[in-house]
Amino acid sequence: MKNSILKTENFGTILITSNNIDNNSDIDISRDKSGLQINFPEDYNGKIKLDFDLSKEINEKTFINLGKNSHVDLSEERINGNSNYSSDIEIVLHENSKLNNLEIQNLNNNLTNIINKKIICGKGSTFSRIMMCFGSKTNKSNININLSENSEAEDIELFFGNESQEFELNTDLIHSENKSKGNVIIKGILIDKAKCNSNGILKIKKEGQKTNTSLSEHILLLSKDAKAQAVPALEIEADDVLASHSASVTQIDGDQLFYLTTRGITEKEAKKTITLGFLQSTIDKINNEQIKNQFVNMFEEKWKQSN
Amino acid sequence: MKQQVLINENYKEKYGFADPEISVFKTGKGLNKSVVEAISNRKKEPEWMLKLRLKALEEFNKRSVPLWGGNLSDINFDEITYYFDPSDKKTQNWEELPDNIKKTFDKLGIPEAEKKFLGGVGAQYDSEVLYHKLREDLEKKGIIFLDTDTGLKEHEELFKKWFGKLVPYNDNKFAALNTACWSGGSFIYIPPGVKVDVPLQAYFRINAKNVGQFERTLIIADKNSEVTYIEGCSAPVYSSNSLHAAVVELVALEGAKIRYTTIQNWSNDVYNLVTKRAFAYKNASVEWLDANTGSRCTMKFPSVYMLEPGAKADILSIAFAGKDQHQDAGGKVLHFAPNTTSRIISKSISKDGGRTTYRGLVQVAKGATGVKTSTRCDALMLDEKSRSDTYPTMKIEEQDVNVSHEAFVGKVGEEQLFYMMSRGLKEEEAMAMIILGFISEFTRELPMEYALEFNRLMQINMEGAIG
Repeated sequence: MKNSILKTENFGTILITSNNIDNNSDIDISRDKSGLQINFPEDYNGKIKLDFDLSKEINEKTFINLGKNSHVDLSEERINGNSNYSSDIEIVLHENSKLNNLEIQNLNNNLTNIINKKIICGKGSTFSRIMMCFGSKTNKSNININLSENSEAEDIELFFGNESQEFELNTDLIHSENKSKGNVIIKGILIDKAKCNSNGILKIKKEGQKTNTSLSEHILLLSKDAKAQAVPALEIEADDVLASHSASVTQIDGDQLFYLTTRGITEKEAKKTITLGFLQSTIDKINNEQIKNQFVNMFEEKWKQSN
Repeated sequence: MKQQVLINENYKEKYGFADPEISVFKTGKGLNKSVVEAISNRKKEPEWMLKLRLKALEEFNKRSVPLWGGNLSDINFDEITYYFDPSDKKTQNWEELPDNIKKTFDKLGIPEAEKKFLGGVGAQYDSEVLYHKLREDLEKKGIIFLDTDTGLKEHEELFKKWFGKLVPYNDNKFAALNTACWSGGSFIYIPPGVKVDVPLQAYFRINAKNVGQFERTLIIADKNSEVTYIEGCSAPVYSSNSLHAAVVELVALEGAKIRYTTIQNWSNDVYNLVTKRAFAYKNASVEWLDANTGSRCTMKFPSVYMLEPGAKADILSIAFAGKDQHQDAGGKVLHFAPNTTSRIISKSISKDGGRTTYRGLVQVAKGATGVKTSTRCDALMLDEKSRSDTYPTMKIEEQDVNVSHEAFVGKVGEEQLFYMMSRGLKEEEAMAMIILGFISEFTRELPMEYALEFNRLMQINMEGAIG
């Protein structure tokens, strides 16, 4: 790491902490009538964290631009606060840029939150997102990812709901040009009276030849009052492609539970182990130890509350 | 590598010929109260049926054409003839049919198939079932196999008990249309414990231009009985649109088993908008084998409501979409009772700009514990102009379940083709063989004679030149 510059700026409703690793030209942040604009110059390499101030209702648009060949880690945290909010974020990735987007939401269980995200991936760019959704009474997340030639997207959505939490996740991945790659993994755990409605769709346009894409939605129901609805859809207009999807709604396997309890593990502990096992293959895809630990800690915390 | 595979290339010669349009009675174009009254009057129905028809007509007028699924904006409801009776004679003897109609059914091979391996046949031509016969030994077992109009006349009580109970008149716009102007179809009752080991068949033919066919089928399988029913269909090739909106209701009482096979081969100007639904009671089993190769646009999602413990549903859906065709098909399984199981398999093939859509529903209601259900849909696309969609919905309200879904869309692998061609097969032969393999899960469930015929149909359809 070269001379990195750490900077924190307060934009009223949002606290932006940036860490410019290569000390290249700086981020340009401005606000106008249409919303907040964040521009990363060409070849920029750095991290940025958005902390949303949720002490008052927010309804603002954020535009984020990644210049050519830039490499940005963007983390969004919505952890503290007691107000409903709706975020509208539009991100454009220019040629060969790369964005790692982490989204953590762990507000208390009586709020409503809505996130609308639109991602436009330029040629050769890579977008990867990990969403961890734990809190709020009503959660709505809409994400629309548009891929152009040779670009790649990976979207991992993890959620854990208890009490009467509701999750509505709409994920659209659109392959508009050829040789793009996509992978969407949605995994959720529902306990008590929690509900989810997960609608994923993969679209491959006529020009999207040689595309390789997949979508999976897997939901584990841990109580008899939990409900799940899942629609993993495909719309395919090109023939030279590989597209697959899979979905399941399952419960804890009785044999597995029996096996673990005969080994002297309490039933509660065994259930936790099996649930973590259900998530493990997805957690393994996260290649940042810190984020992995953060997820596991949040999971443990919520698990304790839930039983 | 370019390949060309033709679906239904020789349709016109084989199925698409037209007879002269002769009618003994028909209603004018368009649909209104007097048309419905004329149909009912001609059939000399009980009062309750006319009342139901009129209520359904109101419902049809009230509802808008669905905006999801296929494009139905080209249907001109005012240009359609809703009832067209080609002959006064309804018979049990092929020889007594008018010459041209008999020739048509001969050409389609129905009388020959009847002799060889069917237990009973109904043949519908436009709005009326003209030929209907059940083998004598089956009749003696108490089996009822009639056209639906006769079913209403001769078995009104049984008819009234189930008619419209599975698909109410206000279920959807096209179920309302069917209830308002239904004519023909099959009415079947299998007594307790009777197992019909030969299939019963119905064949539906549309001959006249711009005509609507609204057959209505009701099958009741009493306790521990078994029946296999097969339906086929075709129509001449016109350049104007016809409409086929059937309603099929299947009742499988405790321990009964119904297998319903459809080989839909309408010409490419028929809109095929069909509601098919089954109720399965304790330990009963319902199978829908549904193949869609014809029509301009099909919207059809056979469903099974599993109402009591141990009920089973099995849906196999095959769809081919060629030029200007859209097959929006699939299946629905609804689990309302514990320990019910279901399986949906869908295979679709699209080419020459055709579009196939799988649309499905898996629902598990609260209290339906121990449910096992799986869905698998595979799609093959044979060129870059075609399109394939998958819209599966899963609604799960019970924890003690096992629900899975898988789908895959792709094209025929060049390695597969290369392997077969290196064994001396021509490209189009190799292609046809791969596709037959792809749909073999369907063909191996058909009765032998049908499987051969279906394979032949597919192979003929696959004949083509390498571009």
